Amino acid sequence: MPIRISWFAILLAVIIAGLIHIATVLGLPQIAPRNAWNRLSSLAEPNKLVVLPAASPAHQSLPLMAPDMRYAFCRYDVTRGPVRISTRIIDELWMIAFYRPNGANFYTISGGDINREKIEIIVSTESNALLDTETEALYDSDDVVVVTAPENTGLAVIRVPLAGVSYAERAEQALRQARCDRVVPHGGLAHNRGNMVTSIQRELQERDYDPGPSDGFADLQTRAAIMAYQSDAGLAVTGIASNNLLKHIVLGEAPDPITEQSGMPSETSDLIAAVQRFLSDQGYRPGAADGVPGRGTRRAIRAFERDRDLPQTGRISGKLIRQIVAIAGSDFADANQN
Amino acid sequence: MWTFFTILFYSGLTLFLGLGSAWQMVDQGSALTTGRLGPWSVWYSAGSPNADPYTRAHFARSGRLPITSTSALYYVARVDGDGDELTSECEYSIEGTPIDAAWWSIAAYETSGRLIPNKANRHAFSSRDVALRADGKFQIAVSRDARPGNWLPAGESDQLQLVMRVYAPRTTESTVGGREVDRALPEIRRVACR
Repeated sequence: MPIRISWFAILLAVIIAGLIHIATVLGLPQIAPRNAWNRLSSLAEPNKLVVLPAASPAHQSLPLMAPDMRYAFCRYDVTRGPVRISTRIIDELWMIAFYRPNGANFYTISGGDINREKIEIIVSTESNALLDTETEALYDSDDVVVVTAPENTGLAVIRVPLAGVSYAERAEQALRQARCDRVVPHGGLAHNRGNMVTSIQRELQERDYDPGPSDGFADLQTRAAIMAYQSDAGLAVTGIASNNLLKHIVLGEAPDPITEQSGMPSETSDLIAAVQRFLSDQGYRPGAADGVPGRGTRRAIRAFERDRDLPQTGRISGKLIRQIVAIAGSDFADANQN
Repeated sequence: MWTFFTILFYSGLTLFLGLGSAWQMVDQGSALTTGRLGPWSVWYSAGSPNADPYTRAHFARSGRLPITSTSALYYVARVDGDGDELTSECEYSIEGTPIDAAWWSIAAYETSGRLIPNKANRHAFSSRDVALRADGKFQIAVSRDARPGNWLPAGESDQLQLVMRVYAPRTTESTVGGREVDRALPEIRRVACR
């Protein structure tokens, strides 16, 4: 059976081969079932630090693991709030590397970069980061490093290269003492910060602003409730929990204009933009998702409130965010990251 | 008329070209993504958030979790200085000057990525435990049978590859724009074969 040679067919074959080439290369990361994220995820719960067994011919948690290094990792998940990693820094070779689930190493810090014996790392996304004042209240600021993660989940991997065989025991012991856990606001650890935010939540709850559970964590709903309060009280709408705000709610004192933050912080514009995107997806036409609550946005919120049998206020509030999260679920929180 | 066999031929050719070139460039790398310094090869943007699709695909498939190249470099050798494939049938000598970095280490693996089982329980030499000669250089013997000095057991299977990790490499004028031009890496010389 003869095969017909046609230049046109060969050209077509080469072009389609090129497309197959591109699709294969781009698709591989999505379909690689044994990538590092999958391998390590199966070894541990989220927000738990796990020391990997030393690499040996019989066992390696990852391919081409270094035999003269010790590893520990934490699969962090900051969906429900920031995560804290606390560990001793053994020497200048000690290193912690942060990865996105796709394996991109977006942040690295080594003992040589910082001359300290221990370190507290707070991991959060931009949208649920602790405020500077909160971080300061929580920790001796000298030992704190804040890492802003591009996604809610990822890996933090601690590596300790061994400075000799006798060193292994020491390295393993230090890794076993390291911790990775969620920053729990109403626990003993975060009491300073928890008190202020919890009080604001309680006060707003009594005044029917629906800030969500009084858990000391200023999540989206709490911040939206603060915005509604500030809007009603004729204050600058910042969405930020502060001692001045608490005083204003409880005592009716006007915040000191000098110490009070003016202007819209970026996390609040992000929240507004996320609400705008949501309303737009639902067909309410709030205008551009610009993070500014203009007339179109207020009209769209009012229309949404009417359809959901809520009082028509036209402003961002705790009730509004609760409704949105009930509809959009975690998608809304994810969108809020961008 | 296009016959069945003609169509089959062109479809096969298309698949072969498309998948073959993708596999080659993801598995082995290309001038765009990898550098070769003698027997050593390095993926320029391993672990980088800005890595190209080939590098991403390579490391997703391999299951490794490299540190971004500004903090650590990984060189892999599967051939000796003459370009012949490494095998534990032969004995090799790795010779070089200590690398200008906070820490470095040379480890031996089977080509599958498994560490090589051996009675001495020795899998690597690092900047902290390699013995230097009087002239400041080091020499590591890779062989099945024990050797005096720095001996890296090559094991009983024929598979052999070497991985050199360099932590916090110090930048020199030879590393323009993150690309290694001529960092002085150890030489791998074949001594004898069985």
